[in-house]
Amino acid sequence: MRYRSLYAGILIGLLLLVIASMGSGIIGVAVDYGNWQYRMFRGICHQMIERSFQINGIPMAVNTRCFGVFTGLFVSWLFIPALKNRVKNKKWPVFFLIIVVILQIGDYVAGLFSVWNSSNFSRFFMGNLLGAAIVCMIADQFSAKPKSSK
Amino acid sequence: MNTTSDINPKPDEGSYWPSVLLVGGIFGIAGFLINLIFGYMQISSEPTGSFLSPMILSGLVVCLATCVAGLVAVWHFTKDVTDRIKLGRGALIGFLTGAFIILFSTILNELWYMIDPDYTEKILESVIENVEAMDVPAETRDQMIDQWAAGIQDTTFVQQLLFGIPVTGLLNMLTGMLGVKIFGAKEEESF
Repeated sequence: MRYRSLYAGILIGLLLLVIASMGSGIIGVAVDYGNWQYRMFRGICHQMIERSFQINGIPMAVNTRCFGVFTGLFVSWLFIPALKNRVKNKKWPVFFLIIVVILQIGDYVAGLFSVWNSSNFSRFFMGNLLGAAIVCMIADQFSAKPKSSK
Repeated sequence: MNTTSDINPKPDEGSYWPSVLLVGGIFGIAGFLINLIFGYMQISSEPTGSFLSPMILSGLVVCLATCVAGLVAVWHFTKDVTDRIKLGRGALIGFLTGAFIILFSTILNELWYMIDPDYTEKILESVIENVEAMDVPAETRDQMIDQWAAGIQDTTFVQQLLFGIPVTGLLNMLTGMLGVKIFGAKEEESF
């Protein structure tokens, strides 16, 4: 496997990302929206309470879709050693990513126009798929055989 | 006279800084402007009680744009320098691009607070009016108001960088690696 240090570094980064995104409920601290977890994700997530899971009655620091993306990235990243050769030189990860992106957009737009009301769990699942699709695209780069040059 | 290596650099040759600074600068400025435009839309809007306020929409747009910046920076690097790019370099370009987006947008935000010192207060007032018009339980409404108030409270320049760079940097590392996969020199593919 190539780029082991990069793989390990990002694995740790994603683990910390998932833990931080759970907010202060994971350590049982009373909610304080000014604390570091909530501030960290303010720039990339709307953090709507109605659209966030809760731990110990405390909303997570990100909404369900973002949490789904982070957990999808982390869990799929764990499988890269097993996945890297299976996706090598294959086109299906590209189609998988395109389909998942279209699904995300469709889910969001349908929700916006009240065509379909997605639940927190469906948004979490859609986020999971997006995270997994991104990792499937990258995974073959860790494969042992070096890329051929032009 | 150009040598072969000048025309087709080896992997990890050639500076990535122009790509990082250009894409980081463009996305940082764009993110700042989008936030500003939607911010003033929020201030001038009537409270509708809708979840999808201009501030929420601006967050969505900026989030999507910010996270693809690593991909765009790697694309620029492959066009401008070489398409023979290693995964680690793509990740580095992505991380640095994310860091510069945060740096540029934070600097611009700080400058704007000098131009319009009441900007954040006006946004907070407008958001609170909108939340109060929402059809949600009182407890949730109070939580949302607390959350917005905490979000707009004073944060130092360094704190904004410390809170912003790790997440944006990591996500752009991933899109930077995605950029290596998409725009880097390719092997034969099958389905």
